[in-house]
Amino acid sequence: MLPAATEKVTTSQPRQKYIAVLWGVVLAILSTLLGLRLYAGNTIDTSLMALFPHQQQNPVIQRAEQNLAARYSQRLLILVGSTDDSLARRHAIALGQTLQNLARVDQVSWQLGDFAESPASSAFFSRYRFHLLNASTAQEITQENTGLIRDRALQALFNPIGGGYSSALLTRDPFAIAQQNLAGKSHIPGLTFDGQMVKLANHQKTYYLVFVTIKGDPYDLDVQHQIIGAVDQAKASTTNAPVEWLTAGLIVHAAQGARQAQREMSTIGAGSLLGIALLILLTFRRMAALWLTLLPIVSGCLVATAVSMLVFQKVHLITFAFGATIIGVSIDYALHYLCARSSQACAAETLKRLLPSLLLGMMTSILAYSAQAITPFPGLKQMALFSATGLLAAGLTVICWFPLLTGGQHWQSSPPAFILIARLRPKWRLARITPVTTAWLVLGCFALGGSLFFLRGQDDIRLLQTSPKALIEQDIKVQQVLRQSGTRSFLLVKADTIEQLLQREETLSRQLFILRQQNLIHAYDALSLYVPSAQKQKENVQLIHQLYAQELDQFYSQAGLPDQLTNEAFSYLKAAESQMLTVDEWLNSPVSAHNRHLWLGQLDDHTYSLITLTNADAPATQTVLKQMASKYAWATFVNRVDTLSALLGNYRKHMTLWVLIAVAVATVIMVLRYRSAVWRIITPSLMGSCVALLLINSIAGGINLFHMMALLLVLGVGLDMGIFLHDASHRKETWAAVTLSALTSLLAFGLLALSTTPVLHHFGLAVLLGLSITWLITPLMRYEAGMKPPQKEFMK
Amino acid sequence: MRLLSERFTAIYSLILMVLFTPLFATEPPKLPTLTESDQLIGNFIQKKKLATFPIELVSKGHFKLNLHEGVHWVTESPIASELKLNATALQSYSNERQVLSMDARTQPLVAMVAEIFTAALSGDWSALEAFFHTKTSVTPQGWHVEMTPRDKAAARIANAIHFDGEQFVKQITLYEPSGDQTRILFESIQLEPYRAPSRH
Repeated sequence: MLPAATEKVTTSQPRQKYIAVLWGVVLAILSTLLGLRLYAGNTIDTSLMALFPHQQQNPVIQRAEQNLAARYSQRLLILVGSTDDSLARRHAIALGQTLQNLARVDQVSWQLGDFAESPASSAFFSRYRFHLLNASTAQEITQENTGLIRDRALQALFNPIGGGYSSALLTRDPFAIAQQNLAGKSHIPGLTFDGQMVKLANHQKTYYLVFVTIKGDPYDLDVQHQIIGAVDQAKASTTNAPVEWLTAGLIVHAAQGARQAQREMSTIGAGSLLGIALLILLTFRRMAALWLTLLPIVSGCLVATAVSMLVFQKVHLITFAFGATIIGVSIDYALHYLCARSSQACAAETLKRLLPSLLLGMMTSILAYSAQAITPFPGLKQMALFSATGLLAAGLTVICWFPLLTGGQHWQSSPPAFILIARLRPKWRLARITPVTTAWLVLGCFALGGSLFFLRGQDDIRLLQTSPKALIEQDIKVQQVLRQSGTRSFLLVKADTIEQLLQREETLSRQLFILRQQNLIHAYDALSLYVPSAQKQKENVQLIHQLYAQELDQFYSQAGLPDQLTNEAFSYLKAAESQMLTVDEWLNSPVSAHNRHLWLGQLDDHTYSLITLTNADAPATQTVLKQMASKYAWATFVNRVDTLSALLGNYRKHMTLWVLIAVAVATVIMVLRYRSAVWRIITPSLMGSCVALLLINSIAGGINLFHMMALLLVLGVGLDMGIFLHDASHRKETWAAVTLSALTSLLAFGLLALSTTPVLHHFGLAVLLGLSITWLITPLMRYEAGMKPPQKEFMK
Repeated sequence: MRLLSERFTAIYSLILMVLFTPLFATEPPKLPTLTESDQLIGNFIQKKKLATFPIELVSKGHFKLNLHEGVHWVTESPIASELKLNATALQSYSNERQVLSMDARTQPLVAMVAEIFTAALSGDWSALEAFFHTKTSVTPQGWHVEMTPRDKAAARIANAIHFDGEQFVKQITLYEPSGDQTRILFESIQLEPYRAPSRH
């Protein structure tokens, strides 16, 4: 028997080499393509929105969210506070000066001049002075209180401090309407200008504001390093002083996330890598084993990245993170091969023996992962392609290259560690099926299955937040203090024409004004506050006509100015009358720089805008706003926390369904091969997953998407364990391979349970629990020697 | 209102500064300290020459200044108007009816006005010198001070401000960017004991 086998192997040597070279060429081609693609740039996607399905995500809401996010992402607000005014002031000045000189800073506003009207905006407001008539002056006219307006203008003309009222105004704008319009606009209650600085006095502390506009991507490490570095340095200089620093802006969170990731990479990441390396070195006692186990992972990641980028153009960061961990599972193939090789005389024979299990394991895993491709979620689709191609490539690396790489005789030596691992094997087993054991099994399955109905979903969007609570609270505090609109909820307005849109906004605006008076919201911001509807603009001009008719003659005569000025003033009014302000003009003017996000533009034959709200998160306010919007078919109240949480929940449900489908498909495939013995293979991973779910439900308070993604990994590794153990009749080397695979997976992913990033923590926790339980249950499925039933040969 | 406040800040600081300026040579003057028990009173004539019309607007009135209520500037003709300015508010009245009120706590620039105002009162020159370059000269009649803006912000308030005086200031001339010229002539300035307003 043996010589024959050896002969057969020798004849297959050239073919093996041919295959190995072929695979090398494929890898080389893909690497080149990947290199070219990476060189072209713009390959990584970080937007959270890119992960959500386009057809489910309303494009209008999507645009609104993009607008808000873009605005939030370029701003950094810093408040320097202290009970000692001069101390806070000094540090704010120092920070402002430092930031001003940074290349990655577009603009720093911290002095009075930075906030003053530019000549361009003064000209804009002067041109549209009558159309933009402010509400309080309009009220004075409608309430026949025009005498007050006249007196005010006369005072401005005669008082030495009525400066700003130049003679040019006498006929162009005798009642200084343009100045009235600007009065009180865009000021924040409590915000004062204290000797060139912007100051915010609260009961206990004084805060100074430094407002930064960032040049570049807040996720760019260089941008973060420069700006956040400067802020941190400023903070560090006051560690012993009573100075409070409050920051708000995406860059703060992005920098925190990057720092956290770096810290965890160097602790958890390094720890798990070191652990895996030690484990393999101690087991196999040769460096080559380490390189061999890493080889399939590296080539898997390479192929997966290349293919994904060629198919999707841009690959999401999260795809990388999770995809790479799933490909990490392919370390199993290498481990199984090396363990099997240790008891085989020749490398080709090892592969021949292992091939059926390897192919079946690969097939079930690839099927399980690619099932995600059918879901409507772009993120899961990418992940499916990434992990399926990665696993395939890793498997092929083992099949094509390992026999040649492990040709040497020294590979055939059972490491002493195997005996130790064999001793670790729990003694229990479920060898024979009796009516009693069957009854227990069925009962157990029912109990387990039944208890799954008690699982709860936990889809809070905070799962995706990586920043510590304190940082988020700071953000909210700064936004509240400065009355910046929050990005959590907003109103969408839809119309057929721009004019209709503005009129509809004005309808809502009147109601929001009342809500603000009732203190239900702090403030709101809407396009129509900057560009009134044409109807409103005409009304305003009409009011000015009324004012002129009633007061102009008297104004000139009291001032001792000639009557003829009345005619001149009226002709200026007539000339200005036709110059209506349009949304286009506003958008093209520098005055709209901070508020362009309110305009959403044309989409599907309609025109849209959004109204932002400040401090509208209270449940009572939310109810009122929802009711308000529900009165009009053209208004929508959007709560981003709700929508995103709902989306996460959808993801979770889809994922659960696909996990079930993947299990069903894998079971069907295995029934073809193992017939009635299939339960011995699938029971450990199924039970492991179920028990893990129940435990997580009680530990974490519910199941989320990331637990389900982890279960896919648990099932992949667990089914592989079952297949290999069963095929090898639970031999010592196979048990060693299974144990090593479980341990490496635990080191690689289970350690993530220690992460402070919620997503990684949940993923790691599920892997940790699922895999350990599966590994513990597996020995239960052993047959007694000689009891193994015949099975259908696979792939022969 | 922003521009308005900026201007009145600067002008008022100047008025106050000069009102308290005794005869001095080329050095910026040391201001006498106004005590809590004193107040300054006087009359003024303001002549505003308009750039766009060949007209001069003339107004007359009186003023009062003390540390308790701030400045009280009363125009008597051709219109009747009163202006009150202190660290907490700016208020103006016409025929005893309030036409304008700005709270220093909510109107950023009023607070700034008040701050510079106080600086001028206490003889803190640096507040004004942050805005203007100062050139002082001695004339046969007394002294002459010319101020030019340091930066763009100050240039929006005035192209130049001139002061003339003997023992007290006699005249302030403001050259506005619009081309208007405002000249304020002071008469019978004197210090008298402060009297608290009677409360009804």
